[in-house]
Amino acid sequence: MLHDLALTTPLLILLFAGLFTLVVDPFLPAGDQSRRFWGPFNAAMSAAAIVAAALMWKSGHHEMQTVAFGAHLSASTYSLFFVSLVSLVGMMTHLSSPKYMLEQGVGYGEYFAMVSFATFGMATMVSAESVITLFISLEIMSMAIYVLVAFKRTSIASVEAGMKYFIMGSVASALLLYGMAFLYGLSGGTTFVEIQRALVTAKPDQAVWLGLAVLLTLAAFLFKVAAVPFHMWAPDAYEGAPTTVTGFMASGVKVAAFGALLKILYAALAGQGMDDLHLPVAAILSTVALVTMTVGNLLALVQKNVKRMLAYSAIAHAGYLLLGTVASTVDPVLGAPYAVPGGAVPFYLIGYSLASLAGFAALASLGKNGEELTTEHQLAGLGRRYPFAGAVLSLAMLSLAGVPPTLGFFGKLELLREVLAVDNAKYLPHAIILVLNSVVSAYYYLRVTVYVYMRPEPKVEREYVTEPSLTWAMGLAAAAILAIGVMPGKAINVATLSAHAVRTGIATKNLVHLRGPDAPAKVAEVAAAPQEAPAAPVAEPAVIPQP
Amino acid sequence: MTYNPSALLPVIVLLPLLGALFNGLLGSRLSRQTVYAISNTTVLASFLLSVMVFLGLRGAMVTAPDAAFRYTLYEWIAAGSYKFEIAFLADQLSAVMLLVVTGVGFLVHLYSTGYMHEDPGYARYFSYLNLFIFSMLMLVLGKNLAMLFIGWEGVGACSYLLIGFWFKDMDKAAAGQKAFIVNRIGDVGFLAAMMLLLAYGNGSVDFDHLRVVFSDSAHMLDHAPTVTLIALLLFVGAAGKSAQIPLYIWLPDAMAGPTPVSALIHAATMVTAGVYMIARMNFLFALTPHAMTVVMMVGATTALVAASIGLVQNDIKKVLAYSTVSQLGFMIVAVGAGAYAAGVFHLMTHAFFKGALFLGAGAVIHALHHEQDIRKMGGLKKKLPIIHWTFLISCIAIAGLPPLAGFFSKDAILAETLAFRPNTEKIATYYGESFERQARVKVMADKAPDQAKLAVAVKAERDAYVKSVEDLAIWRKVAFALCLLAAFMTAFYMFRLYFLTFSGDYRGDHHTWDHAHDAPWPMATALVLLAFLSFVGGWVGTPFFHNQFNFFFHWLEPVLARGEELLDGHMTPALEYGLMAASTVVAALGVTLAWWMYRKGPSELGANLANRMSFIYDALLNKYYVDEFYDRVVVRPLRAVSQAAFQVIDRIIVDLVMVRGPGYVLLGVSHAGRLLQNGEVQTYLVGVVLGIALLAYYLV
Repeated sequence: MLHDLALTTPLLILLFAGLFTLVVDPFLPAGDQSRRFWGPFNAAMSAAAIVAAALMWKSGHHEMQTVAFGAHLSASTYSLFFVSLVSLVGMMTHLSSPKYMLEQGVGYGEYFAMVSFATFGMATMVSAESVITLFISLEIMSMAIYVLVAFKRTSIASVEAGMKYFIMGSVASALLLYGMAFLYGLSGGTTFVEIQRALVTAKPDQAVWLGLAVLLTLAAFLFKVAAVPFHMWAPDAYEGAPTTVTGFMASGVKVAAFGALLKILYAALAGQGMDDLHLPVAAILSTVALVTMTVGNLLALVQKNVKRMLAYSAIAHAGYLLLGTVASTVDPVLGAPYAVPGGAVPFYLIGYSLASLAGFAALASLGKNGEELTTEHQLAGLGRRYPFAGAVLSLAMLSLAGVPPTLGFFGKLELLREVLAVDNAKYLPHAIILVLNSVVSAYYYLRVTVYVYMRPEPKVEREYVTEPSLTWAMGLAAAAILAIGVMPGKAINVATLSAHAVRTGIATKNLVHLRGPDAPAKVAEVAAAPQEAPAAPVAEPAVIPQP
Repeated sequence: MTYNPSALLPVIVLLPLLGALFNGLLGSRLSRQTVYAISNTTVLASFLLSVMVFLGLRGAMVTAPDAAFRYTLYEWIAAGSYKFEIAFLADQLSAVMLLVVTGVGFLVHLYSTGYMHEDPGYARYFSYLNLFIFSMLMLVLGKNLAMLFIGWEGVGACSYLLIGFWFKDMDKAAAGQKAFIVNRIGDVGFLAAMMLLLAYGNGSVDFDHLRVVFSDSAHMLDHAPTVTLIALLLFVGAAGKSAQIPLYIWLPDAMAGPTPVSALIHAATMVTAGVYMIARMNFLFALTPHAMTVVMMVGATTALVAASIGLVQNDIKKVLAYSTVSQLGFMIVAVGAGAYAAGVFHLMTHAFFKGALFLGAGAVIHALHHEQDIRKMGGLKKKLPIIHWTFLISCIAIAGLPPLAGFFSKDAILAETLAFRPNTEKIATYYGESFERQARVKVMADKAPDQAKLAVAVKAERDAYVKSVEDLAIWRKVAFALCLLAAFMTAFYMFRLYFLTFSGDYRGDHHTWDHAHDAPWPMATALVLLAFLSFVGGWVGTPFFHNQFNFFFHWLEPVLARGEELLDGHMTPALEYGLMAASTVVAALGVTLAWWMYRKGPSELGANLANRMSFIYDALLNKYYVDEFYDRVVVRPLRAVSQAAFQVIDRIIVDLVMVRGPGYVLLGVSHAGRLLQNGEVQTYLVGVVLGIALLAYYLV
C-alpha cells in the first residue's frame, strides 16, 4: 500500500494542492487580492509534481516495480513523461491566471482548486492502466473543466460554452463507457494487460464485438481531442471560456487525451501494431487526421477572433497528432511482433502545448477590466505598447506555424519523419497534405503577427494585465520554445524513451510468452494458473538508439 | 604539463561574445570607461588564454608531435547520416591564427579607445568589434567546415556592420552592402563545395575526418575532376573573402569604415580567412594540381593588378587597401603553389605590418582632422614622430627589405613557388582506382574485356593525367615573374606613400597643422608593439642553414603533412640565396625610385609621366574601370532581369495565380464551412452521430 502510494506521489501532490486550496480558501481574509496567492501556491505544487516525476524517472530504471494498485495505475517512464507535461501545463495556467481572473471579476480560490483537480485528473488519466481508472480520471478532468469553462458566471458566453461542452461531453462519456463495457465483455478484464492478452488470441467470431468496442472507444477519444466531425463543441467552448482556461484546455486536455489514446491503442488494443486488430484502425486514424487538419485549417482562415481561430488551429493540430499515432516501431523490451508508438507524438505535444500556453498567456494580458480584447483588430499596437506580450504571442504563432528555429518546426519534422519511416509509399500523400496544410495555416498565424506589429495603434488608450507571475509564464514558455527548438536532441530522446515505455508499466512478462507458435497453449496455461499479481518487475530499461 | 587546455577553447571563443552582448545590450547606459574596460578585457583575456593554449600545445608536442586539442561542446544537428557538432580544434595552424587574431585584435581594441574617443556610437562600435573577434575565433577554432562557415558568415556580417558603421552617410552604407553582396557570391561557391564534401565525407565535414577520407583512395567519388571542382568552389569562397580577382572590388570600398576596423578586419584577420581555409584544406587542394594552378595564377594576377592600381592612388587608405589586396594575392599564390607554411607565415607578418600601417594611417587621419588625401600632407616627420617611425618600419617591412618581417615571408613565397612541383607519382597513386574505373568503362564499351587491353587502357588514363599535370609547370614561372614585378611595385608605392605623407613640406592648411598632435598613449602603444613585431616577426621563419632555424615552418608541419607529402621539390642553397639577393635588389630599386621621385612631395617628373601616358594613368586611377564594367555587365542586366521577373513571374504568376488564387478559393470554402457551425448543440450532435455512423461503416 505504501509502495503504491509512493508510486503515485506526483498525482497525490496535485490532489493535495486542489484539496488544500478548496479547504483553506474560506478561511482567508475577505477580499479578492488575497486569492491571488493561490496562483503561485498551486503553481509551486505543480512544479513539485514535476520534480517528483523527474526524480522517479531517474530512479525508475532500476528494478523498481512501476505498477500500483493492482495494475490500475503505473509510474512507467511513459506515465511520468505525460504526468510532467500535464503538470507543466497546470503550472503555467496557475502562473498566468491570478491577475487575469481578478480583472475578469471572478478571482476566486475555487478556480485554482479546479485547475489542480483537472490537472490531477489528466495526470491520473495518462497513468491509468485499466479502463476503470481511465474512465474515472477522465471524468475528474472533464467535470473540473466544465466548471472552469463556465467559471465567468457573469458572462452569458462563458456559461453557454460550459453548458454546451457539458452536454457534448456527456455524450462522449457515454460512448466511452459503452465501448469499455464491450472491451470488458470481450476480455473479461478491465486492465490493459488483460484486454491485450485476450485480444491477442481473439476468435474470428468476436470481430463484430471488437469492432464495436474499438468504434465506441475511438469515437470518445476523437471527441476529446476534437477531431472532425466530433469537433464542433470546440470553437464555442474555446471562445466562451476565460482565456486562461482556453489555454489550459487547448494544451492540457489534448496532452492527456493523446497520452491516454496512445496507451489504449498500443498497450490495450493493438499489441502488434494497428494491423494486429484486423480492423482498418490505422487507415481510419490517418484519414480522420487528414480531414481534421484540413477542416481545422480551412475554418481557421476566416476567424476574426483569435481565441476562436486558435480553437480551429487546435483542431488542425489534433489532426497532425492523429497522423502521428500511426507511427510505430518494434517494442524494445518485448521484441519483434509487439509494437510501440514512436516519439513523435509526445515530442510534438511538448511543442504544441508550450506554444498554446505562451499564446494564451499573452492573450490573457489583454483581459483588463472584464474585457476580452481578442479580435484581431484589438491586437493592433500590442507590439508597441506591451512589447513583451507581443513578442511572446508572435513567437507562439511562429511555433504553431512550424517556422524554424522554434520547437514547432522540429515537432512537425519528427512527426513526418516517423510517419514516413513506417511506410514511405503509403503515407507520402498524407505527408504532402500535412505540409500543404501547414502552408495554409501560416496565413492565419502570421496574420496575428501582422496585427501585432504592422497595424496602426488605435487611438484609445489601452491597459494590459501585467503581473510578475504572468510575465514568468510567458517568459518560461517562450524560452523553452526557443531553447528546445535550437537544441531539440535531448527532448526528442526523452519523448522517444517515454513512448517506447508505453507498455512497460503493465506486466510485460505475462505478454512475453504469448509470442510464438505455441501461444494458444501458453494462454491456456496462464488462464489455468492461479491469478498471480499482474504486477511484475519491469524488464531492463529500453535502450533507445540515438537518432 | 598536466592540465588539458582543451577546455579553454570554448572560453576563449565565448568571452568576446559575452563582451559583445553586454556592450550591445547595456552599453548605451554605461560610461565610456566601462565599455572600454569590458571590451578590452574580454579580448585581452582571450589572448592570454590563447597563449596558454599555445604553450600547452608546445608542451604536448614534446611527447606527441602531431598533438592537437579538441573540445566538443554539443552535438548540434544529427539528422540521419548527417552530423554537425559545435566543436573546437586547436592544432598548430589554429594556434597561430588564434594568437594573431586575439593579439592584433587586442591591440586594435586598445587603439580604438583612443581613436573612437569622440564618437557617440562607442558602445555599438565596441560591441561589433567584440562580436567580430568572437566570429573570427569560431572561424579559426572550428573543428569542422560547418563551424568554420558559421564564423565565416559571422565575420562577414560584422564586416558589413562596421563598414557601414556611419550608416547615415549613404556612400558608406552602400559600401557595406557591396562588401556583403560580393561576399555572398563567394559564399555560394563555399556552400556548394561544402555540400559536395558532405556527400564525399559521408555526412561529416569534420576536418580530421575529411583528412582521413582524402588520404584513402578507396572512394566512389574520387576522380580528379570532382576533387578539382570541390577545390575550385572552395576557392570561389576564398576569393570572395580574401578579395581576389574577380571579387576583390569590395575591399577598397570597405575603407569607408573606421580605420581601426580596416586594420583589424580588412587587413590583418578577416580577409586572410580564405588563405587560412585553403591552408586548412591542404590535403584536398594538394590532390588537384589543376585547381592549385588556377589558385596560384589568380593570386599572382591579383597581386600585380592591385599593386599597379596602388601606384597612383591618392587616398592614404586606398593605397593601403590596394596594397592589402595585392599582399593577399601573394598569400594566395603561396597556398596555390603548395607553399602553405609560407602563405600562413606571410599572413602573420602581414597582420603585423599592415596592422601597423593602417593604424598609423588612422593616427595620421586622426591627427589631421579626417584628412585622407596624401597630396595635402607632407612633412609630418617632425610633427608626428611616433607615427612616423612606426610607419617607416612597417613600410620597410612590407617593401621586403631584410631583415624585417616582410622580407622573409615574401622571399619564402617566391622561392617555394619556383622550387616546388606536385608529386605526380603520389597523386596518380591516389587516383589509381578511378583510372581503372574509367579505363574499364572505355574497354567495356569496346566489348572486349580482356586483361591486357585493360592494363594498357589504365596506363593510358594515368599517363594522360600525369602529362596534364606536368604541363602545368610553366605557370609557376609565370606566377613567379608576376610576383616579382608586384614586389617591385609594392616597394615603390609604399615609399611613395611614405614620402608624400612624411617628408617634404606640408601641403595642407595651417589650421590643421597647428592642431596636429602625435598619437595618444593607447594608439601609440598599439603602433609601437605592432611596429616591433613587424621588425622581428620574420625571424621565426628564416631559411638559413637548410631551414634549421625555421621554427615557424616546423611548427606547422603536423597540419600540413599531407599537403606537403604530395609535393616535390628541392631548394638548393644557390637558388635560395640567389632569390634572396634578387628580391632585395628589386625592393631596393622600388624604394630608390620612390625616393628619387617623391622625397620632396609630388614631383614634376610624376606629373609629366602621368601626362605622357595618360591612357595608362587614367586606367590605373580609375582602377581599370572594373566597377563600371561590373555595373554595365552584371549589375544592370541583373536588375533588368529581376524587374522583368518581378513584374511577370512574381506579380502575375506567383502572386495572382499561385498565391491569391488558391487563397481566395480557400477563403470561400472557409466561409461556406462556417455555416455548419451554427451554435446549436443539436447540429453538433448530428455531427457526432454522423461520425459514429461513418466509423461503424468501416469498423463493424
